[in-house]
Amino acid sequence: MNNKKGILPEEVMKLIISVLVIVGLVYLAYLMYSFLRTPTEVRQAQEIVKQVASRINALENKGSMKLAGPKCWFLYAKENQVCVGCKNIGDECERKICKQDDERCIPIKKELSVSFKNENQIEVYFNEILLEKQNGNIIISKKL
Amino acid sequence: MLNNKKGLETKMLITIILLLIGFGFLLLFLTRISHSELSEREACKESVTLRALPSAILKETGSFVPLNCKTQKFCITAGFLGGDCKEDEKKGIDGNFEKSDRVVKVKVDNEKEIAKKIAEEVFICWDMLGQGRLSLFSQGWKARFGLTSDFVSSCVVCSRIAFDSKTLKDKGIQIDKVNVYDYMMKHKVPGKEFTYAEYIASGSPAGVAVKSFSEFSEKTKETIESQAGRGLLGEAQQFRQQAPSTENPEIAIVFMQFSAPKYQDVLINTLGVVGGAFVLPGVGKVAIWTVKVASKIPIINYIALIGLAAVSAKQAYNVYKGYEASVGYCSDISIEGRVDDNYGCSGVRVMPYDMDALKQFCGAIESIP
Repeated sequence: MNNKKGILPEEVMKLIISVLVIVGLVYLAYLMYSFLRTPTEVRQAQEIVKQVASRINALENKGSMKLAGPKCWFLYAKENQVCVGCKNIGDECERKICKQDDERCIPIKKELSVSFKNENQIEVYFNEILLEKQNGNIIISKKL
Repeated sequence: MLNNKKGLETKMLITIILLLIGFGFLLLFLTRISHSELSEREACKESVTLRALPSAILKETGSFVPLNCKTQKFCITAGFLGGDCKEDEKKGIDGNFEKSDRVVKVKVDNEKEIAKKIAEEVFICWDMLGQGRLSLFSQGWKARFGLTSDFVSSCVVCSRIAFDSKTLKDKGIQIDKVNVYDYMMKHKVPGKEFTYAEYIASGSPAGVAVKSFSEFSEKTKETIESQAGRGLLGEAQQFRQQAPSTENPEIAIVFMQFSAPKYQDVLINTLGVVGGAFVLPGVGKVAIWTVKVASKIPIINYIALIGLAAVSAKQAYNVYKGYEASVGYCSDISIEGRVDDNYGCSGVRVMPYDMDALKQFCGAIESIP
């Protein structure tokens, strides 16, 4: 009887430790997965759209931005948001594998709107953009 | 029996403790990498180590490990309060740097302090990205088998430095008088026994630490000096000449790496795969049978020979294109003895932060802007 009482807490301890180790390993696997699953170009695109949105929100009159982002990722406007997305446009990007969720959008201030001057989208790969504010509308164009 | 049981329990307990300790270390390491607990630069350095690990063990770049390197932004200003780094005040255009919370203002009193800041950034960049000793970027599997001639260099923009021309001018500081090259040649890295130039030119801090510049072999000394006006250190000098051309210049400190496969590597890889196919269980039998049957038919032999010759010629051509690309990317920063037989190079460039200039040297950017 005494033996049984002595064994029981020991078994429970082992069980608790095992569960803790398993939970820890699952958490570790999750951390590893989330770290590796976001490719550099997605993180670059995320940062670029964040910076563009922040520039748009703070723009007084005119502004320019140099975009040194990944190839085949384009900047465009979507309702009240500014977005970057991977697109198979042009010869060089035709064979690029773009995933469906390869789009990152950031909403801008409600009183502002965004439009593009000459083209609907601008590639963020080594391009410079000009931003101009006209009556609450931000016009984005490619600096030539 | 009882002893056995106790032995087993102790063994299990030790295993659990070891597992927990190992798990703790891994958890600490990953948490530090994925969150901003460490400074951005330390996080970058750790991700560089993590990426380089597979290449050290398997001769394969761990390009699946993303680099966690954020571009640092500095605004060089002067005066008591300092100013902002606007792109072009006359046109009323705000530059990239304005209203960004990640811009660090650096106040300077003279040209030498500007040179010091740039030299420090070059040093940090080179050190952070593995001093050119680590293979960080892969050209892909096609390149390893000589099946592509599309080679690009990869870059990490370590820092961007903009200048607040107005306050600098008020203080009497002339950007065109900043001589980074001279500073790097004459000044030692803080806390070290070697100059910035020695450190970068040698590519081996240990080697430099034990040698003073005077003890450098004449050949190395000559090589460093011959770099003036070109390449790694030359770019810094070039900056001195380019800086006054724009109202408010901005420079980038960029780590660049390029590697193309050599003939022998392509041959070894190809033979490895072909040989492997014959050894693999199942596949091997089919391959051997195919060869046996095919070798009996003369026309197939001829076709196979012609095909083999064509593939080999294509591989040789692609390797040559890789060599050509290597010359294009590396010729100005190659220092004798450090270039991997002219098939690759690593270097830090101090260049104007201009999209055309960047595009010229970098096929892909791997840093977070």
